[in-house]
Amino acid sequence: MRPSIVIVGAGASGSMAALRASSLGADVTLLSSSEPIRSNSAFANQGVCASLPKNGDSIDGYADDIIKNSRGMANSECVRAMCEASGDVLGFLVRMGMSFDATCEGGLKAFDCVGSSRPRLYRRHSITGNRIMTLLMGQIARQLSQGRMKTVYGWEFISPIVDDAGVVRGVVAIDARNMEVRAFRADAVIMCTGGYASLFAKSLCSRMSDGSAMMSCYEKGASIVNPEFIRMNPFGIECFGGFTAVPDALICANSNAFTKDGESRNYIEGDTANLTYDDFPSSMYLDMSDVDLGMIERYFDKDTDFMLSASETFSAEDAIALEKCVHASSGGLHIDDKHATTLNGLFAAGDMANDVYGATALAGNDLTASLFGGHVSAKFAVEYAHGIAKSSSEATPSLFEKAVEAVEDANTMFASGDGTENARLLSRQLAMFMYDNLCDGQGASHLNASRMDFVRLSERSHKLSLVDRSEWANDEIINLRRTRRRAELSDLIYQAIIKREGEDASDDVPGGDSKDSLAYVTKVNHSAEGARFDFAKKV
Amino acid sequence: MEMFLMKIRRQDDPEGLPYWEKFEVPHEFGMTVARALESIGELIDHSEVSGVSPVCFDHACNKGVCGSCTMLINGKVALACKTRIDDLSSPITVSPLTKFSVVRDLKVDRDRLADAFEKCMLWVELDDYELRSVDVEGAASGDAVDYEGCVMCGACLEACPQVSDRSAYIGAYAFGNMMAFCNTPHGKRDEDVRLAHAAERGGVSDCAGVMNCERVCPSGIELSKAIGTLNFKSMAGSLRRYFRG
Repeated sequence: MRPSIVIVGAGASGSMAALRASSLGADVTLLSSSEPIRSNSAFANQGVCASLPKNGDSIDGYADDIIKNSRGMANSECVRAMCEASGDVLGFLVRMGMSFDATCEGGLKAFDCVGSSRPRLYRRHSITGNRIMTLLMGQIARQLSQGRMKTVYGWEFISPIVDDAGVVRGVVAIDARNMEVRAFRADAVIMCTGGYASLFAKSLCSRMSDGSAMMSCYEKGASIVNPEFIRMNPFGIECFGGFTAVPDALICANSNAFTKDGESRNYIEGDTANLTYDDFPSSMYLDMSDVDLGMIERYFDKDTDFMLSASETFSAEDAIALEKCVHASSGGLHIDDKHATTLNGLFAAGDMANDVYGATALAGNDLTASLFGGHVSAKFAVEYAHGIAKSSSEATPSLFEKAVEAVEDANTMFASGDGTENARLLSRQLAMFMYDNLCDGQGASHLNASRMDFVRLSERSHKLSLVDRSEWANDEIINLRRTRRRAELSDLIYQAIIKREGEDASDDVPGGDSKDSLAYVTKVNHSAEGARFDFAKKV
Repeated sequence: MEMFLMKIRRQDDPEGLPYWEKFEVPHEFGMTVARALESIGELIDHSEVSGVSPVCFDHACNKGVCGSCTMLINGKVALACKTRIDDLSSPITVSPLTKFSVVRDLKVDRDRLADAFEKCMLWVELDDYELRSVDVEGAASGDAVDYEGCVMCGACLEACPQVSDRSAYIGAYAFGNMMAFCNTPHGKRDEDVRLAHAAERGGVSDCAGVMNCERVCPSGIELSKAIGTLNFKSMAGSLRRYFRG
């Protein structure tokens, strides 16, 4: 009997998980709100990190760099496993047909990245993520043409379906076009919906990465780890309506970063702490005039072209004004060494999970971590699905009917509610508030002062109203649901920072670069009375 | 506050009749069309019945890399997130792509773009999906990225006079993707099979050489060069086959 696996999210980790699970003989459904090419992974312009022994690199050196930069937030065993596989991840991309930038002699060009002891970033100009997702899409098309998997794009994930025994039996999702609510049965579910960086204004991520899927898993019983940690990137530049980051490889190629007072900051040697925490100055400039023009032409022409066309403040001669941006979220669903969350049958990989991802302070690690995470989680999910006593096809139909009904009822309730708040406006205001108050490194005392403002803002999420009540392609219902989740997650982050201070667990956060500088791990569980925080000593 | 006028062509569902709606939008510094469309939804006052509903359109990245927000802006196909309001002449008109069926307002059904993968077999026949150590040195490519970076926005189809309901022509993006694929060592292996696919009905030979695709491509892919190269390759292939008997 083929186990059925539903994979939610079609980014790098989701696509990879779907391919591996289908090749392992599972009946795979890849459910996503958009195609792989439009996922957040496709915007990864930094490159892929890998340690190639041939280049004189060692696994230990790579792992040490990651652990040092993650300030002990990463699970060192997971990091080691990823580092060992990183060369093979690169190999897999090459097998799929990926090409990378070459040195003048024609060998693979390894780029430097901030915080890394040696060059191990492999790039294809500024389109590494786009190329990888295109190739993954090709492989998905191949599996589809051979009838080995199904894809359901354009569906919004609502929540996992959990039976009375606390086992996940599938997911319920809504079609963004005809608004049909449907339950998808599954023996195991892998969540690959990415992080929640777009909860903050000035985020480098897609607006879809808002953690709403993570919150619905949390509500059903999956615990979240370290939600209050996000990774900042001081090298953001404003482009069009969004933000993008100057690639690390370009920064390391003789660019000079300096503050308004002219104080020079060398981000290549030793000053890496600034990337993870907030102690870098708010107004910074980058001067690229010392970068070899030949090098720019050869490797960075797309990046610089893009920055030129995108940013009103960018010019090749003058220094660029940099913005401090939110790069990625470090927290996520708690997973064990088999990628299983605390909910039976629910697995997580990529930015969604908190294993290696907390470690992605190094540029390019995010793609490696997502591809590797997706790959291994698929194996564990298939193994789990083979081992369960009762498959989801034997589960009572009423379980799925009830799940669908609950979503439909909630939709009706939203439509008939008497709220007066605009969900779109609120989620924007919330993002601005979160960025202004949480990303400035002022600590918990400042947060206590702004607590009331936050409560007033987040309470508005209970009074959202729906102006659009049509039953066709109603983005407003989806947006309303997402906004509520955003408010819940923002609240969770707020509480976690304040409680961490109260637990005296805060002094371990900044400072120091020892392996275990983060001695406490925040674990959050859902309960009827609200969030239950647990600051466990890290072992 | 400075306001500007936006005329948006809306449609409630695929069968519904299209209609134009005018919006007065407050101007923001560096505002793009995507941001303006977003702000229409944000500015609706929910405490009173206004009868205005937010404009439905696809967008995700807001920086021109996800290819979601392609639409006709002042009659020209462009990504809404890369088009600044200040660069447009007033009044600004925004309408959905015409080569795809409208889902709602500016949101169109672009599912068929994924067909290129199957039609041109844009994949390597991998034996398995396991991670194992292989030689990666061969993947180093000194070539410029002439053909890579397609975001599947559909602009090349919109601008192409050959693409219509009654034509089988797949569109230039497929050939850009194909060339990007054929240029890699692993992609070269089954080049003949892919070329044969590309030469079928609806393939490269249906291109009329208008070259609009290259002009509108937001990623700057050299599509006409891709089509030319593929045409040459498939022609050379068939001559070779002819003389060899």
